[in-house]
Amino acid sequence: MEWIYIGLTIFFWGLAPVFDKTALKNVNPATGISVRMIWSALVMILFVLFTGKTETAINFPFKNISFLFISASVSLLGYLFYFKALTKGNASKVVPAVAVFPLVTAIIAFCIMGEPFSIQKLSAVILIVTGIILLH
Amino acid sequence: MEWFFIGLTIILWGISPVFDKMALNAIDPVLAVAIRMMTAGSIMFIYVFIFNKAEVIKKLDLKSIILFVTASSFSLLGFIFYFKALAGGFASKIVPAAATYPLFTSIIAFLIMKESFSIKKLVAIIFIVTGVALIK
Repeated sequence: MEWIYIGLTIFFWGLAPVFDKTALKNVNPATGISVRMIWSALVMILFVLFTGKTETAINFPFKNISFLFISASVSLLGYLFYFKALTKGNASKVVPAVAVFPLVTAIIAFCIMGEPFSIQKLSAVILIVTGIILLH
Repeated sequence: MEWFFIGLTIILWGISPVFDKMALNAIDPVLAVAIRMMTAGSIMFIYVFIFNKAEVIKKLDLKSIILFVTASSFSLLGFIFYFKALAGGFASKIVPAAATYPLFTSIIAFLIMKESFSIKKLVAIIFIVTGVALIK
């Protein structure tokens, strides 16, 4: 089942940049990110309100909410440095270079979260990351 | 200097899914997306007001807004499926597999937007497909 979800993720995430690319011809990336994030938040607020899930969301364990808050903040901070890097260097260098991030996730998952490690898995991650770098 | 920012981006984007994975322990992935998006949306909303970007957003033409909203909606749908996959699978597998979405963007760009195709892109596709096959 997870591969169906991964396939759908790739499909929707793959489509999004086609629209971003056209819009970013005349608009500053930070403005674009602001519009995107505020829109996503509005959609999800409406979803929670109209599906009657407010109670469930409010009763989420504090620990889980904190992790989501940290994740969102860390990811946005990453965007900040990404745009800083883009203003200092060429996009042709910066965009492929940041594609290394899944390797960092995999290393943390293996070393800290205790996910099963194998040379095959590590090689797979390295191949994927190299492929993404070459694609840009 | 740009490599310092690139490094920070890689580390922050690499860490972010680790917190997502930890948060997804026993909570509804769709509601988790809602909380994450509300956090990111709120931060960007504050950013817009602190840095007086509201005027810039107000001045955006309708076409750009429609493009960003479309991109954002696709991205949001992708996020829901990504969180569903991440809730049930290992971060070391789901994060690199989902990160292959630029390959799909590349295929769309080639088919619809008539972007060029090169030997480097073919090698990238071989690397990514082999990596995904190995990570299974």
